[in-house]
Amino acid sequence: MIEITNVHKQFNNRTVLNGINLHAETGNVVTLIGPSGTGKTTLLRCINLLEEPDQGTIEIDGVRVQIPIKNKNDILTLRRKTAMVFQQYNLFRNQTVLQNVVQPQVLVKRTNKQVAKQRAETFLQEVGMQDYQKYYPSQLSGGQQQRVSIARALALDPKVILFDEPTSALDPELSREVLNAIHKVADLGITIVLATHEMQFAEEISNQVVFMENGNVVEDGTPAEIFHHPANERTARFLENYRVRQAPIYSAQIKKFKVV
Amino acid sequence: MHNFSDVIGLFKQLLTGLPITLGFIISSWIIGFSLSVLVTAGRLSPRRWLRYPLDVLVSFTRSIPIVLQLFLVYYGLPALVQTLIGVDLNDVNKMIFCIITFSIYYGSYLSEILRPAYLSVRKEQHDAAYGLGYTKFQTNFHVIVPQMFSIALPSLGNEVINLVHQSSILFVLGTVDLMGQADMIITTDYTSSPLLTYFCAGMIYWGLTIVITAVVHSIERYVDRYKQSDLEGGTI
Amino acid sequence: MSSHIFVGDFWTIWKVVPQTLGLSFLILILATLLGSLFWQIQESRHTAIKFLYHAFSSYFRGVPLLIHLLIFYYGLPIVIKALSDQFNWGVSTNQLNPIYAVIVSYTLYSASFLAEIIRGSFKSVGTDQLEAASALGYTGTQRFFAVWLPQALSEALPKILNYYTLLIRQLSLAFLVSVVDIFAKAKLETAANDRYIEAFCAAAIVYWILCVVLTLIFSKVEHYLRRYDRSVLA
Repeated sequence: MIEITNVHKQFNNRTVLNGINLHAETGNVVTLIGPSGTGKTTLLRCINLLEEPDQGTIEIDGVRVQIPIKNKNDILTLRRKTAMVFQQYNLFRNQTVLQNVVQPQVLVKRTNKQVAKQRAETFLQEVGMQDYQKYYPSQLSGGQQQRVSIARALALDPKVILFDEPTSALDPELSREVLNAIHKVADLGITIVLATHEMQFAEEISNQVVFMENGNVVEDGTPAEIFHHPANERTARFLENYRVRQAPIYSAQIKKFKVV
Repeated sequence: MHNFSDVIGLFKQLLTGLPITLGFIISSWIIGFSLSVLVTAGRLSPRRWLRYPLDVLVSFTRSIPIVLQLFLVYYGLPALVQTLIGVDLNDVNKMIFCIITFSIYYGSYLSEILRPAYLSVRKEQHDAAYGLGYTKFQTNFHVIVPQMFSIALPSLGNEVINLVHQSSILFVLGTVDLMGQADMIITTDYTSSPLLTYFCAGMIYWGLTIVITAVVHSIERYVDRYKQSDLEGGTI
Repeated sequence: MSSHIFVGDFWTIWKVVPQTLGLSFLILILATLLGSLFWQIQESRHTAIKFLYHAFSSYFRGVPLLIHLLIFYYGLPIVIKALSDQFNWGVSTNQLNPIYAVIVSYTLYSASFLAEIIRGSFKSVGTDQLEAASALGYTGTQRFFAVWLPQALSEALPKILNYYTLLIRQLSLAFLVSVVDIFAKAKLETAANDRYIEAFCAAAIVYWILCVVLTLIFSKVEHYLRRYDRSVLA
């Protein structure tokens, strides 16, 4: 269970998160949607305290951290309930695929190295990367790196996995394989918080959708509610714009620009 | 012990060697740098008979201490010239041998900075120039070489300072540059303190280094002035 | 030029190669340790300490190594004598081996350069790498030893090894304080037989062989260290 209460965050006097409240049950797949620069990434980074909020409370699976943090050990305890998948993959670039999945287990979970290896192989299999164990990240495509990064997160057996726009650096074809991998994570019953711009994917995978704008949660509900009967006018306008932008020809052009 | 006016006097005498040091640095740099442009061009050339000997020369000058190269030229060159064309070089000013040594050294050594800088200019830049109909010479002269210098500039600045510092070794041949003056003070005046004399000479080299560093920085800022705006305009 | 004398000189000079390499290596190790310390000092939050370090490093990098060497050659015995008198160590400074002047001056000088290499290498490890470690729940110590240090090392080591070949060449100045390395040995030979060209050519060949061989070994090391940067992306 995740319980976020009244989280505020400013960067250089610019308010990025303006009192966020969020509740998610265990096993929920929560997607964060909203315009760019609206604080989705910051919220994710506040949940595992990579950024320290200015105020608020964060509780994951019974570990409760109140800002200001009194005991620095709490940061690590909370963080170890989670794992994160980054937009730019952030695999350790000096380690092979296998090492990338094994080392965190050994260091964070104190797993026996042999066991860690077996588990790593299982999870790499899960994301379809079992044949690339000896490769270095620089030898892999973005989609492959991202799938390894998902295996790395899974191997830590976290209560929650945070996905920070995991496909936004990828081409459409490569996104698909990553989205499939995320689907598998959801099937395992792990709680997911996912920031994304892929509306269709958000609709099909999640059972809780949070629409954010200007550092506020505007609307929080089921996919059916948010995507088909938005209660808030701003949500409706955002999705309306998005549908227009998602029109086939136009979207192909956008993707092309990204590749260039 | 030494009083203040002694120290002033010491500085004054040391500074009489400064013009020679500066003259040496400027002439060695100009000759060495010009040579290095030719050497770089030669090493980038597809002709093997040009490339290989130059690669060997660079490997040699890079591997051997400059003081040894100085001795090699100082003793070896007159002997070589004597046997080859029968001209006696023994009365030639020592400073000429120093300038020859350092010109050869920097002429080949700087190509180790210029060559990677040339190669690091991205292929797109070549393509763009050729695509616009530039000739090979135009491409190099107007597009690639200017970018190469902006890449190489910080390293070249370091090498100027290196040259200043390495010039302190000339006194082993008995030159009368800055360090030569220091040596002369110590060997002729038995009341002098070697420690103080070398320290004062060090101060002058330090000052020279600071001035050159400042000059190089301002040139860098001037050369790189287009980079900031380039970055800002570069994102879609 | 006599080939007989050249060969004789060559083997005489070759015998001092181990001690030249050893002394350079000792200086390299000391300077790397000291350079790491300097890097830490540089990161200090106290402006006074930072300022002092900047003045110190500007001095060591701004004055020729040759002058540092001579200053320590004349200054070190004075300092040691003062300390010895103060604390009654009873150290005789009359026969202080000049090798100490070489070690101290070269170590300080090199450390001020290596500190920059070390700092740059640690800085070159992207924040994304450190963030990934934090997000996975690594402690600060684990993050340093498992992620930061190995990546920084593979960046720094080739440069430090490169500095080693530079040190071997720089050690040629040690003849000024009568410490014997390759160049000093050549100079001693010329004093013994008055044949300059043979001895200096022999020394040049020795340096050349050393540098080419070391460079070859070091580039193999670098190739190995950078194995993960070799993208063979299809």
